[in-house]
Amino acid sequence: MMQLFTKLARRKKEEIKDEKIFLASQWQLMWWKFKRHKLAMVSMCILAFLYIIVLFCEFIAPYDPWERFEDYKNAPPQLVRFYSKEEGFRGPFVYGMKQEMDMETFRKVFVEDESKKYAVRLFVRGSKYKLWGLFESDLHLFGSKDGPVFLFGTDELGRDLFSRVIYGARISLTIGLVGVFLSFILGTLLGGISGYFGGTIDEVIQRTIDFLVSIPTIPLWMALSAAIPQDWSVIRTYFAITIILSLVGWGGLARVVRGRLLSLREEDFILAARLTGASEWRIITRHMLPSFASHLIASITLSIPGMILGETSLSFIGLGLRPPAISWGVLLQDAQQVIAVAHYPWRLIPAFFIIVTVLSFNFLGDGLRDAADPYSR
Amino acid sequence: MGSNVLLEVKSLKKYFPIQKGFWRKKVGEVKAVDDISFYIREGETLGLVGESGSGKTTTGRAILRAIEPTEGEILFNINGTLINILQLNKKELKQTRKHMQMIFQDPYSSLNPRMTVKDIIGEPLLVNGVARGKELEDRVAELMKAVGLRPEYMIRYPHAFSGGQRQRIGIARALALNPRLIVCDEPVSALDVSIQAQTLNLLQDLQEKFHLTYLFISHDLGVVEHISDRVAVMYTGKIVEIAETEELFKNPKHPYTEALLAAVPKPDPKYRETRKLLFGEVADPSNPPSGCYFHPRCPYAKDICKQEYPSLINIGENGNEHFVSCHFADKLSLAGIE
Amino acid sequence: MGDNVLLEVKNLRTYFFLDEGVVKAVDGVNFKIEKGKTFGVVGESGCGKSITAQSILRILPPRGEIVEGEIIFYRDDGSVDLVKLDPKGQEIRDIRGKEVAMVFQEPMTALAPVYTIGDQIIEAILLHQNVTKEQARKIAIDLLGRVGIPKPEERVDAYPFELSGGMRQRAMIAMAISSNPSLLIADEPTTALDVTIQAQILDLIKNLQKEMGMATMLITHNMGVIAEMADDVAVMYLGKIVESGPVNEIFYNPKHPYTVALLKSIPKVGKKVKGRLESIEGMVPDPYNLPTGCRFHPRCPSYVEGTCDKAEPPEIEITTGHKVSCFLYGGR
Repeated sequence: MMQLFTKLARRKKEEIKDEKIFLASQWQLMWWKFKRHKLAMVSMCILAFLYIIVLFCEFIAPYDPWERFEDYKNAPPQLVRFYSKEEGFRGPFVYGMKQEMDMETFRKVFVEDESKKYAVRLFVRGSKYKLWGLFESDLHLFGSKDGPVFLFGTDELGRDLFSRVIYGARISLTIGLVGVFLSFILGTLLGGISGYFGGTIDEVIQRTIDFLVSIPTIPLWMALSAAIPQDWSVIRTYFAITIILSLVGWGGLARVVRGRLLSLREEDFILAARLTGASEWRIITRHMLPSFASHLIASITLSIPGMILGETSLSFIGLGLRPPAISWGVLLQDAQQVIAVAHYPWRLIPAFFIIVTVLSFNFLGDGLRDAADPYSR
Repeated sequence: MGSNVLLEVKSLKKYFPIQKGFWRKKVGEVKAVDDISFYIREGETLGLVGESGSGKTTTGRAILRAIEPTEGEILFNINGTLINILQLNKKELKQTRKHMQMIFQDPYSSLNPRMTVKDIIGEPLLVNGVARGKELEDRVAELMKAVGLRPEYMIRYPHAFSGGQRQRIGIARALALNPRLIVCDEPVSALDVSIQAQTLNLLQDLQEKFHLTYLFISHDLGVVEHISDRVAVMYTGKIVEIAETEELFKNPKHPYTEALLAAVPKPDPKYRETRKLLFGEVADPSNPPSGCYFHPRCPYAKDICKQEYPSLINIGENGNEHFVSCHFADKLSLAGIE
Repeated sequence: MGDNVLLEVKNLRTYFFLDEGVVKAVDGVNFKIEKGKTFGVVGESGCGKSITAQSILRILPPRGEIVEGEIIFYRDDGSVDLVKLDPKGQEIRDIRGKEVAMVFQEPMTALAPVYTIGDQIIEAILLHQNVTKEQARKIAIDLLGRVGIPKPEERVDAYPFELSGGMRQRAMIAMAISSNPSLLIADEPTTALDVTIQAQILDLIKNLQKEMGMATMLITHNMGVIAEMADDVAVMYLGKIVESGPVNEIFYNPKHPYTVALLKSIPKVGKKVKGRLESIEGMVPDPYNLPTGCRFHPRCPSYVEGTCDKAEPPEIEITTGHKVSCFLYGGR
């Protein structure tokens, strides 16, 4: 009897599981398929984390990114410690730093001063800021009341690199999104027109894309950004750069949209809808758009890294954003000379962030692309 | 031809241009459908058989104006008035299409995977303003019952169903607007043998129940023979023979029909050695042979066959219609199937 | 029988280990193929007929595994169990293409699009025969002529896309027979072809078989093709052979309810049934959730409750060579 019950219960459970699949919409199916792509899931978490940082960078950064610590120019990263020789465990702290002359190279270098211990605390009051330009506060995620804490070291003007990387994320990570958004609009619109109407318009748009794609990107960027006036504000330059990036980048997306539309036009279910008397508008919005929205999201995700790298390269060669604006590309300008990198290797830390971000977007895009058509077997 | 003709096709042509190069210069034509005429009586099933490239699918789609025919007339009888479908504007066409629907070959690509069964079957009702809300749901449930599906499943997506069930969903969608004519384009070719029989039975039951008229397109002679009242045989865009089913299978008058019947593998080992082989390949509709398109493969071909295309003439006796397009239609004695 | 057996499959089980569960694609299949004879395997999609062939050649798709059984290939100089060979090893590669050749349903995907058909046939010849390139080319032209390709000395340099479906299938067959195989496995060789072309290809296979004395394993869903070609027939349903025997026995004296129903449900040319066809109710069950007992019992008109859903029916030999797995004929 008991056996029968468990058997029935198991069958019931299986049926419920099946029923869940049968009732699942495309987005649910996609999510189930996406979840199996481990690398993409990890990447998604990393990116979510990065974007949370972007949202709260004033709070997370311990210092104002432009604040100069005159006594600590080119200071190396400090290690957060928990144990000291004398006291054993005493919670997180950093040693203070003192300058010494390296007797071999005759350069001034910082060494840890074990006599000074600065306790690192969470939720410390520090420099004032306005979160999102609205809420005034001086609370920071961490910091020390006893002395400065430079997790990533400082630059040659004595500014905290950690805070600068955090602030830089704001521009570097959003410029990709804004740029992709613009090229998404351009790409969908022109690709849609091209694929849906066909004929001469299609030919013209396709040849335009061919032309755009055939121009080497770097010289084109350089030419366009050389046209940005030097005296424009940071915000204006930022938007000018996104427009440049998206003007060059929409071609690929337009091709994806056109290709999908062309193959969809041949699908029997589109013909069936047409035969039942559905209007063109309904066919586009109810049948075509949902069918390629998922593919579109995947290709958009895959084109974000290109935008981020574009901004970085432009800023790196000095044609994009310029100081005092902070982006990862701008920060990397400090790492242009081999000498600088050899002496102050921590200046390459922004590059690490760029690599992690770009890789994460690529893996995420791969995962999305694999999940984009949950009906293929 | 009686007054109960539902659809009459006159000199229908569909030529696809062959374009080449950047400027899409026309370098030739594929005569997919080349001047064919036939009619379908109310309530009957006309089978349309042919091999690939014969133009049978194009014919079906041209009748519904799913592709624009190049030339011809398609007369559709709506309560006594004849309407030429090719002269309708967009709005009139939408009105007329309520009376004519289509069932597709591929049960996978013919259903939008992103819509629930309710939305798929209900779409014709919704876009034509026939029903909405609760009323629509009731009608969808009714249609699902009619095709042998459980109405509870209407909230499911197509991926929950097998090929045979999907084909039933497609049939329910075609029935939604109470059409008079349904063009069935290879409706059972993609299905497994055991499911084919179920689906054919369903189509026959529905025909009786809703007084439907079918144009049944297929390459499977067994299926066509089973379901059709009359059969038309197509070869390279032309109809070569058209007659009552029994007459055509027992007493074929066109050498191609004879060869087709002989070529079908029969599920009965005793037919093993009786097969006559047709040599050569199906003619290319973009570059058909001179004269009768079938002459290069025809075992009975004479000189005239190379020069002149034979017209489709009625050689039926005792008032029965049997149209054949062969110069020697009344002279040859061809083997059918007993 | 005895000495005439070319290939013997014993209790073959090929499973697929997927995320959704285990698919028992082939589940305990036994059969023998005799030298020079045509062995037909018929069944609907998902019955495991193609997987059986792929198991023999050891070309299973990823995640497919032979979990049990023997596939014994008899040669003049002894026998070899193909299951024990390394699927990527030299020994199976020598057998594949040389002693056992295969023809697929869609020749376009089986032929490489960037090489001429001549190149591909010559490559196959060079791989298995000790001849020079010029000789191989001569053999290739000769083969193309034998499979009925007109003007073979010109067509040898044609690319697959330049040929029609029927011609491609002929080229495929030419490649398969290039090394005088003792067994040709043809997996739905005519399904993608038109009726008149299908008849030509079937005829070609039959004639080549007679000429060369090779055995054929013909896999199809089409009962007509089986009736036309096979000497012995196995009917498969969901990974099992439900009935097997000489072709006349299967068509004129079918025993298993599935075979009976299948034969009745096909509309036959020249035998118009008035009214409805006799059809098999229900659908093929989900491969992840096979029915207990006899796998056909949920759709079977002769289903006996308490018997068919409890145990798997044993294979019973009714007359010589005619075997059926159904409780109607004993084993209860």
